[in-house]
Amino acid sequence: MPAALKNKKQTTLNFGSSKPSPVATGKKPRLSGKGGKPVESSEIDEYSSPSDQSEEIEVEQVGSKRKRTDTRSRVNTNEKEEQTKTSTKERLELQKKAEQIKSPAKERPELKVNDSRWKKVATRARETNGNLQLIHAEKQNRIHDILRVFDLTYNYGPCIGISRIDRWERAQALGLNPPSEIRDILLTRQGIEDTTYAQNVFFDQAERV
Amino acid sequence: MASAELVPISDSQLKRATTTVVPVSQETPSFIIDSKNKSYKHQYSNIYFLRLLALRDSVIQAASKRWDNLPGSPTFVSRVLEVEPSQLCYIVGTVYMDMPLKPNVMEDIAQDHSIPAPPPPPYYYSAEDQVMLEDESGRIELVGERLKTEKLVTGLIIGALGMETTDGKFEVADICYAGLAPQPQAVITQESEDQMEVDSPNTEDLPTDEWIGVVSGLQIGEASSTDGQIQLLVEYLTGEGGGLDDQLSAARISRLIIVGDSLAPMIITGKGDADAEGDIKKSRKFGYDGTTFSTHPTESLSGVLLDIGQVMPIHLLPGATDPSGTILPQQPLPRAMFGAISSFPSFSCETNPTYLSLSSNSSPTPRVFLLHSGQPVNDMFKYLPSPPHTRLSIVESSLKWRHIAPTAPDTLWCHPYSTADPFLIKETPDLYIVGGQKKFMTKMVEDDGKDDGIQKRCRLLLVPEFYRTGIFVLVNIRTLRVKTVMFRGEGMSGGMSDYLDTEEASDTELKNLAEPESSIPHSSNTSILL
Repeated sequence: MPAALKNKKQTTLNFGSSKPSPVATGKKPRLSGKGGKPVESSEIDEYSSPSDQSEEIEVEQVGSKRKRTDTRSRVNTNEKEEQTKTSTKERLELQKKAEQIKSPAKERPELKVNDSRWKKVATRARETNGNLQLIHAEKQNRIHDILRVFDLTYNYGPCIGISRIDRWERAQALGLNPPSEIRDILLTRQGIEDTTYAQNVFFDQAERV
Repeated sequence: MASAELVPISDSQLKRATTTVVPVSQETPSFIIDSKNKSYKHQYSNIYFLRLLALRDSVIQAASKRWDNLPGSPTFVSRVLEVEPSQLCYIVGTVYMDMPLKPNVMEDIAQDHSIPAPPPPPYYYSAEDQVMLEDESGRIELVGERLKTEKLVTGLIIGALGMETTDGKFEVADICYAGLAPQPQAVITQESEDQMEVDSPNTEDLPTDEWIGVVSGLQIGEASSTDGQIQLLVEYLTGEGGGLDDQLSAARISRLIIVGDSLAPMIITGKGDADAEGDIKKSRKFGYDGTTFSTHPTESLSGVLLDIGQVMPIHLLPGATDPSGTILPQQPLPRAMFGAISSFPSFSCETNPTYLSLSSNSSPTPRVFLLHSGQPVNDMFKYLPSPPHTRLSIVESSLKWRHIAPTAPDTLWCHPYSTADPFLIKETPDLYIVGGQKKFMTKMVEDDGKDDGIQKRCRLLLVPEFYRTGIFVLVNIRTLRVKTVMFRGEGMSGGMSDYLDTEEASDTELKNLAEPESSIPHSSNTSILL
């Protein structure tokens, strides 16, 4: 039995690595594979049982990654994909934050504009502009204000030609201590998908590359 | 092993000295650009921001040590635009030289294309140059007599002491740089070795010392053939040429570093472009047009590398004339280009510039080498009038400025880095080698460590082009002393006759530079005459 389990665990890993990258390419390859080949789906069902057992074995090591897979209400295959991914990447726990960025935008938390977390940063942003009333800014909410002030703060370097999250990461790496709320904003679903949040203020004027 | 080699009676017992490559320290930047960094979307302003951020604190420290105790108690003003008139203060920022002779993209666009463009001027300095100091807030023009004697190029981070004049310019009284970067390996050396055997000029070269050979500018494929000289070099290195003394000295050479310009620039005659489709198809075979492109230089170079590479490790850096990119840092030449030698693990292709860390039996503390093929220095040299400034003084200053190529990206093309500037010298190397130069020059730069208690020293080495001068340089890895070997032949072509005339001049010039120590046994170089 242990030998069989080991064999199956090995084949589970092979199966995971032969798939296209489970993270960035979205769900389409897997779903078509599942629908088009009934034989494959039954194999998938078979493999899910030893992987459940392996899931229990790894539960103490994987910690927060387990929570991430649980919150998603997806089919078996995707959970299994996550588990193979975590088993192969468990030594890369230090890169957890990097993986969060790479995961698809749809799975990121939603951005609540009036969240109380942003209150401090928003007031600081208004203060740097001298609490002036903004002209032609009807469609801009406080998130836009926060991010625009972040762009124009010259301490963190030039804002043109670089996305806001890259600029934040660079400022952090250089030890300039940018506010962490901005990173949280930029990693939400809207923070990734909406270019008025993700890119700097001059993006649509200057930078169509 | 040592005593067996010294018996000159039978030469079959000579064994080559060995050195090993050790991994460089964590702080050392890498110049490899992999697919992750290959984006050209970034703006070059990021490089200036990163440079200023990295060097600003060091410059402020050096400036405050130097100027805080002056009468008038100058203060540090953090933003360049906030200087007050008639208040003695000092500011820190990036230098920008506004020179009308610099290549200017606006003039390129505006020029009349019906007449051929004038050739680019060989230097950029003129009487109308303006010096600006810039930081994140803005820029201010620097004026003053002090600037005329000072060596300034675009992209340096300096501190300037002075006061603002009535017309908004900043009159400079004094200028200060960051100084030599910390040198961790020097600390280890001083702690572990009781006598300062490395740095005192009285150390002799022991027969057990390992030497590193450095050559630059082989220029294979040149119109006037230099094959004879190169063949002499190969025979010297493999121990086939010369007498017993030459074999003894060649056996101590443990490694060869080729610092750029191994292939001559290819002159495309222009026949290969847009003819009728049929013509192109006929003359092309193996994917290239045989009448304009010849593989002979590459095959020649591969042969030379194979001959040398079979007896010693080689490091090959690309140079300005080599088929690597024109923007710095140049990426390593592909190994497969060189045929048989590519299967030798001792042959390595390096980026330009590169850091190399070598250790040996006689010098267990690794020596850190910083090497590049000369493009940054040649570019900086265009900014400065030559009689007071020499290339050697520019290389020495670049160590004090803590930057290999400050003029990148202004006049020197470089890759748009956005997260870190790898041309910053964070730790002073033991040896700084610059290839592609016109004359051989060397100097030991020393810092007696008044400021931070650590003595630092670095040997500067400017390697001349082999195809014109025939000079091959040897460096002792333990004592960092330097020797040259000159290869020339009676009646041999390769432009040697030019150098023979100027040889006397270069000797006297070296003496006039007042090299502080006797560690250049330049007059005792061996010449191999055939």
